[in-house]
Amino acid sequence: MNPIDPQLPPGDPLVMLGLLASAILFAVGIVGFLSRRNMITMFLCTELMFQGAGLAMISYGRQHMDLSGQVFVIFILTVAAAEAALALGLVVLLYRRKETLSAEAWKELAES
Amino acid sequence: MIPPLLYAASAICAVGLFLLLRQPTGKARLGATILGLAGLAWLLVQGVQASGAVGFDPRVALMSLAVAMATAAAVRVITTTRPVFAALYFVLVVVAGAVAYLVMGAEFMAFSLIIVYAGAILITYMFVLMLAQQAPDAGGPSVAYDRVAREPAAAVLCGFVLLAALASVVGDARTNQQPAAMTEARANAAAWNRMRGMPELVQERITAELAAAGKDPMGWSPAGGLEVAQDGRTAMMPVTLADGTRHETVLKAADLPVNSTSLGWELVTSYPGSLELAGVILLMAMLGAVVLARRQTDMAEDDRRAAAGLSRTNVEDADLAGDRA
Amino acid sequence: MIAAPAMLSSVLALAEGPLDAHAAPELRWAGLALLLPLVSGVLCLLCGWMKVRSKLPAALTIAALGGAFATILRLQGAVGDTPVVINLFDWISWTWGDGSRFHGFTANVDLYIDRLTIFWMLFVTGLGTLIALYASEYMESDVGKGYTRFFGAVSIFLFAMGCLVMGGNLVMLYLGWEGVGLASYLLIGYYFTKPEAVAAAKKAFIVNRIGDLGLALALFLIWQCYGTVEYAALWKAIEAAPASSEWTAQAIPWLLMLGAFGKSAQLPLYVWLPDAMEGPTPVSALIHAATMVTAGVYLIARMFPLFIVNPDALAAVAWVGGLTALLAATIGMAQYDMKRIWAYSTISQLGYMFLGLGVGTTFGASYHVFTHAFFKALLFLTAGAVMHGFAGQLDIRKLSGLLKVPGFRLVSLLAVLGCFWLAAFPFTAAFFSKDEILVSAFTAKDERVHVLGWIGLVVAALTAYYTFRVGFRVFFGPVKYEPGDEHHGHDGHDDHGHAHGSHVSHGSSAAHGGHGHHGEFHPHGPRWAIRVPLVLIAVGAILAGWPSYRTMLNHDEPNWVKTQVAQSSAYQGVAAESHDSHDDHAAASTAAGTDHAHADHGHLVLGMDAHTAVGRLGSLACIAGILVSLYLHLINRGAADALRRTLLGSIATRWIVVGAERKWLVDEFYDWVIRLPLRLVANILSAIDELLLDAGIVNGIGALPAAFGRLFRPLYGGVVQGYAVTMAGGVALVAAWVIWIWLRGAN
Repeated sequence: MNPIDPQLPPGDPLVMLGLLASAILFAVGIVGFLSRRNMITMFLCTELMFQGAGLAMISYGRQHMDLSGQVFVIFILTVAAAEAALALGLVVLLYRRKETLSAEAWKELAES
Repeated sequence: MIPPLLYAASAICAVGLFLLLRQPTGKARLGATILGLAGLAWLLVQGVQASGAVGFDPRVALMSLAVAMATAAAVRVITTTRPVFAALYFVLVVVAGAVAYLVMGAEFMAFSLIIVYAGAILITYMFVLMLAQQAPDAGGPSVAYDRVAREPAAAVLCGFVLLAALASVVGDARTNQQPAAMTEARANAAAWNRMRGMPELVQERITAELAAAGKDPMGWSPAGGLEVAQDGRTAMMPVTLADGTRHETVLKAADLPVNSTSLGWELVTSYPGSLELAGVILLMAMLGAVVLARRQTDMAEDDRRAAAGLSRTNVEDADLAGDRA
Repeated sequence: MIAAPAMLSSVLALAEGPLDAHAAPELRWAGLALLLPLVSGVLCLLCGWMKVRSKLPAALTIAALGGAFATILRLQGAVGDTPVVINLFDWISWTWGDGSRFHGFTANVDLYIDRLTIFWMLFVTGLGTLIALYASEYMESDVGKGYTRFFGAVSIFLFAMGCLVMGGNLVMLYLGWEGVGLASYLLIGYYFTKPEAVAAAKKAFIVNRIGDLGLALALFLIWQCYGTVEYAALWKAIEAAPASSEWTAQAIPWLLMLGAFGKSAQLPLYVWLPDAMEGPTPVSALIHAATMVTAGVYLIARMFPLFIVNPDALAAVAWVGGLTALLAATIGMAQYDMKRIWAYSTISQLGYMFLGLGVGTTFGASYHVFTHAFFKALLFLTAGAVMHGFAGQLDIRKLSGLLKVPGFRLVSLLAVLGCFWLAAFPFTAAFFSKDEILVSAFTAKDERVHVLGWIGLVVAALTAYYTFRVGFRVFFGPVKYEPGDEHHGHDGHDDHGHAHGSHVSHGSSAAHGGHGHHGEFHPHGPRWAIRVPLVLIAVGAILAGWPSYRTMLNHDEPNWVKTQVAQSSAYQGVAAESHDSHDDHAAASTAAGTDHAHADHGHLVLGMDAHTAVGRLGSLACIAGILVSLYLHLINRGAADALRRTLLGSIATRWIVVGAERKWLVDEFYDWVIRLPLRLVANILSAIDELLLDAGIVNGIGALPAAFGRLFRPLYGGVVQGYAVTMAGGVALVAAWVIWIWLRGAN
C-alpha cells in the first residue's frame, strides 16, 4: 500500500472510522452467521451485515459529498425489512414443523 | 495504514472473537474481551492516523465511541447464548450506528434507522422469538444449540480474511481520493443546483438575507438567476427591491437546504423508479408474510374446494380404488 | 438383372490388363487366376452370410480354382522367354523431390509373368483344385457349420498365393505372404473349439511373424539400396550395381532368408509346422505340404540375384537346409502319428530344397518343390482318407494291413506309391530332383558345403526308413485296427448308428463319427470325390518325373523344368557363377537344357562322375533304408520294440531314443530360452501397467476429484452454514486476491 502521500490534503477521520466500522460489522456478521445454530440469530447476523453495508454507504457518501449513499441506505432498509418479514415468517413455519430453531434440524434438505 | 500492522490488528481482533465464541467464563472471558477491545482500538487508531488528521476533534471522539459501541454490541450479538439478548444487543448496534450516521451528517437516515430497525424490524424479531423460542426459565440454561458455537475457527478465519481485505481498501480509499477542495466545490455546486429547483426556499432565504442586511424584505422581485461563486461556498442573486433599487443578495452555505430536504429531493428526482421498486418489494414482502404466516393444514383437494365454497369434484371412491388396484 | 452383363464386362476388364505389343494376347487373361479365387472367396462369404446349408461353397471354390488352373494352363502355352508385366490397376505411386530414383515409390497391382511364375502357379492351382474336390467330401460332416468358412479360407489362400507368386513387386509379394499366413491361421484353427488347434494356430501365426519381420525389413532395405521394389526395375538396378559393401545391402539376403525360413519351416522357426497338423487334413496337404511352405523357396529363387552376390548368405541357406533336413528326419523316425511323420518329412524335404538353393541350383530346388508337391499331397490325402475312414485314427501302432481292408485297397496302393516317391526310390521323380540337389552340393564351387552332400545322402537313407516304417506298418501285415477317438468332434451326429452300415447309399451323412464308442467298428472307404483327386495326384506324381525321363532318353532334350526356371530371375547370375564357367555352354544354359554330366566334368565323387556317384549312392541309401524298415516293421515287428528297449537300456544310447521321440526338446528349449524370459518381461510390464499406470496414474487421477470431494464433504452435510462457509470463504479469498493484485498494481 502506498505510504501516506503528504501532498494530499488530510482525509476525513470520520469516513475512515465509518468504513472500518462497516468492515468490522460485516465481518462479525459473517462470523456469527457461520457459527450460530439458531436460525433467528443467524438472521440477526444478516441484519448485522446490512448494518455494515449501510454504514459503508453513508461513509462513502460523505467522502464524495454525495447524497446517493444515503438514498441507497433507504433501499437497504427496504430490503432488510422485506427480508426480515419473509425470513421470520419462514422461521415460524419451520419451527412449527420441528419444534426447534436449530438449522441443523433441516439437514435432510441437502441432496444425496 | 500500514498493511502488516493492519493485519496484525485484525488478527488480534480475530483471536479475541474466537475466544469469546467458545463461551469462556470468568477471567478468561475478561481477558478475551480485553484482547478483542485492544485489537479494535489499535485498528481504529490506525484508521484515524491514516486519515492524516491532527489534533483533537470531538466529532472523531464521538464517532470512535459509537464505532466501539457498535462493534462491542455486534460481538455480543453473536456470542450471547440467548436470542432475546442478541436481539436487544442488536438494538444497541443500531443505536450506535445511528450515532455514527448523525456524526457523519446523515441526520435523516440516522432517525430512519432507529425507527425502522429498532422500532419495527427488531420488534418483529422479538415477536418471532416469543412465538418460537422454547422459553427457558429466566436465568436458567439456554438450549444446547444456542450455547455451542459451530466451527468458530473456520467462521472467524473466513470473517477476518474478509475484514483484512476490506480494511486494506479502506486504507487505500484515502490515497485515491481527490483533493477535498475539489470534492467540496463539486458537492456545493450540486447543492446550489438542487436549490435552484426549490424557488420557495430561495425566496425565503433571500427575504431572511435582506432582513439581516437591513433592506426592505417585502416587495422584491428577482432580477436574475442564482450565480454560484467560484469556490461554491456562496451564491449571489441579484434582486430588485420594492424601491426599485438593485441589490445583490449573497447566500451562504448555511442557507442551503437541510439534509432531509435534499434527500427527499434527490429521492424523487434522481431515483423515482427505484423508489417505486422499493414499494413493490415491500408489498410483495407483505403478501409473502401473510401467506407464510397462515396456519398450514393438510387438506385434501376435495375438502379444500369445499372449504372455498366450490363444488366437489365428482370422483367416486370406487374409481380411485380401481386406479389404485 | 440388366446390370449383370455390364458388371461382368467391367469385372473382366479388371482382369484384362494392357500388354506389351509383342507378347501373346492370351497373357492379358492372367488376372483371372487372381480374380477367380477372390470371387469365390467373396461368394463363400455371401454363402456364410445367407446360411447356405449345402455343398454350394465347395462347388464354387472348385469351379473357381479349376478356372484359375485352366487360365494358367493356357498361359503356360503362351508365355514367352521374356518376362511380361501386366498392370491390372494403379495402386501406390508416390513421388517427391525430382521424382528420380530414390525419390518415388511405386507399387501397382501388377502381374509379373515369366516361366517361373507360371511353373509355380501350375502346381499351386492344379493341386488346389484337386484338393478342394477332395475336401468337398472330406469336410461334408461340417456342411452347414464350418463348410463355408473352410472353403472361403481356401479361396482366400489361393488368391493370396496368386498374389505372392504372380505379383509384380515386393509389396504384392508381401501382401500375398501375409494373406497366406492369414489363411493358414484360419485353417489351422478351423476346429476352434479344440484348445490344441487354437494353440497351434497361434503358434503358427506368431512364429511366422518373426519371419515376416525379416521380410518386411528386407523390403525396406531393398528400396533403400536399389530405389525400387518392382521386379523389372530391381533386376536392372542390381545389374547396374551388383555388389554393394554397404551393410544395408549385405543384410538384405539375410533378412529375406529369415522370412523364407519362417514361412518354409526351416531350422530356427520350423516348430510351427508339426503343430499345424491340427488343421483339417486337406489343409495340411495343400497349405502345409504342397504349396504355402514352398513360398520361402519361391522367395529365394525369385530374389536369387540378391543372393548370388553374397556367398556367405548362400552357404548359410545351404547349411540351414541340410541341418533341418537331418534334424527333421531324425525326429520323423521316432514319431507315431502318421500326419506328424509326414509333417516332419515335409520339413526335411524343404530342407533339401533350401540346400539346393544354397548350393546354387535353383533348378534342383524348384524341381524338388514340384515333385514333392505331388507326392506329399498324395501322402497327406491318403492319410486323410485313412483318418476319415477310421474315426480319426492316425497312430501307426494301431493300424495294420489296410491293403486288405475292403474299400481301402486303392488308398493303400496310392499311399505306398507315395512312399516310394518320398523315399526317392530310383527312377521316381523325387529321385531325379533330389539327385540334382545332391550333385550340386557335391560340385559346388564353395568347398564349405560339400559335406552337406554326404549329410543329404544320410538323410536320404533316414527318409527311406521312416517312410516305409509308416508304409509297412500301416498298409502291410496282418489286418488289425482300432478306431480313433474321432477328434473332429461331430457332436451333431446322432444317426451314425445306421449310417456306418450303409454309408455307400447314405452318402451325405458322413458316417464316421463316434464308432469307437459302441458296437463293432466298420471302417468305411472313401467315395469318388476322394478317390478321383487321389488318382489324379498320383498320376501327377508319376508324370512329375517325365522331364527327367525325356532327358534320360534323349540327352539333347532340355529338361522342361529347367527351361521354366532358366527363363527367370532365379537364373540370373547362376549361369555365370557355377555351370558355365567350365566351358562354352553359357548360351546353351540360358536357353536351358544343359546336361550336368557335361558341365560337371571337373568334380569327381569317390572317383566317379558326380551324377553317377550320387545316383548310385542315393539308390543304395534308399534301398538300405527300405530294407531295414522291411525287417523291423514288416517281417519282425517285435525287433523294433526290442531295439528301442535295448537303446533305452543303455545310458550311452538312451538319449537318442528319448531325444528323437521328444523332438529333441526344441519346443521346451524355446519355452525356456525365449518364451519364459518374454513371459517374465511381459508380466513385469503388465504389473507396471496395472500397478503404476492403471492403479497409480489413471485411477489415481480419477480418484483425485473423489478425494478432493471427501475433503470438503463435511461442509455439505445439509447444514446451511456449511454452504455458507465455502461461499464466504471463497468470497474472502477472491476479495483478498483481487485487492492484493490491485494494490500491487497501484504501486
